[in-house]
Amino acid sequence: MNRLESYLAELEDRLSLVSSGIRRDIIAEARDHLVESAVAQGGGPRGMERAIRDFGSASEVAARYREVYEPGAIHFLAFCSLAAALAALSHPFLGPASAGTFALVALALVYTSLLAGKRVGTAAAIAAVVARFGVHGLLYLRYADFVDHGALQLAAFLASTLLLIPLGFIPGRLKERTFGGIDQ
Amino acid sequence: MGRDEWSREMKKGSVQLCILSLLAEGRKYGFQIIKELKDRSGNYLVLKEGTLYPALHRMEKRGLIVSEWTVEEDKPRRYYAITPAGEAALAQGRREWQRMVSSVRSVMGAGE
Repeated sequence: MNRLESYLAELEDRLSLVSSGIRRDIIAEARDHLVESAVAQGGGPRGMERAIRDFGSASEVAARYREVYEPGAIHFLAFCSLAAALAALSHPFLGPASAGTFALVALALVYTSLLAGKRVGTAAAIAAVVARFGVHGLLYLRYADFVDHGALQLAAFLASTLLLIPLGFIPGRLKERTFGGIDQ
Repeated sequence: MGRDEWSREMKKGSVQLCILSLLAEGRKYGFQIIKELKDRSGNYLVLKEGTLYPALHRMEKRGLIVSEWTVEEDKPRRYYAITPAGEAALAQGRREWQRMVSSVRSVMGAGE
């Protein structure tokens, strides 16, 4: 692999969290720039080395792109907090309405994944799982007799909770593979 | 505060304005923008080249410019053009720049 290809491969690796369509455009644009810049700097391996030096390190350039294309910390926190709050209220111990709330959590995660991308969707799902397990732990400590309904119920609770992870990941991933569009 | 630091701080606010000014003359691609910024500023506005493109993408997300891929000599090339919102921002930016230059000149002149 020559210097240009290895540089572009590193840049692409560092942009793995940006959606594939945008990533392809970034790499194509960087390639066009580096080829023209290398020619302007005398051509050959030395010209390419200078062009890459002037362009900046892959980590530095990727960091600038991530500032543009990845959701900011506030959005990230908002999605995760909403998912965690809804998930906490969806614990089966909290009454019959909890089933409806659980469905709402599932829908919220699918929506988040489609809207904000698989990375944010998965993070929100993990926040939801942690919240459900956290509530379960707290309730168990306080009301062990009520919460403990046996292995079957516990297994159902664990399975339904862990199901939230693919709900946060898969829709965003499918969208990315299908459209290759904006990931946020 | 050294020369580099002053230079960096002053360029920060002016590069976007200069990019919009260049694009107001007609569509351009990244390398062309970098070269014109450098040549027309007498080698003052020399950017770390890889940072121009994220800046262009950010401006596009804000609706100030729009990009279009074309094929030239069998190679894809992305051109950027100013939008009506970009032209309005440029007009506002130019006015603000004039105000700032004149205000700073008045203050600095008063201290001389």
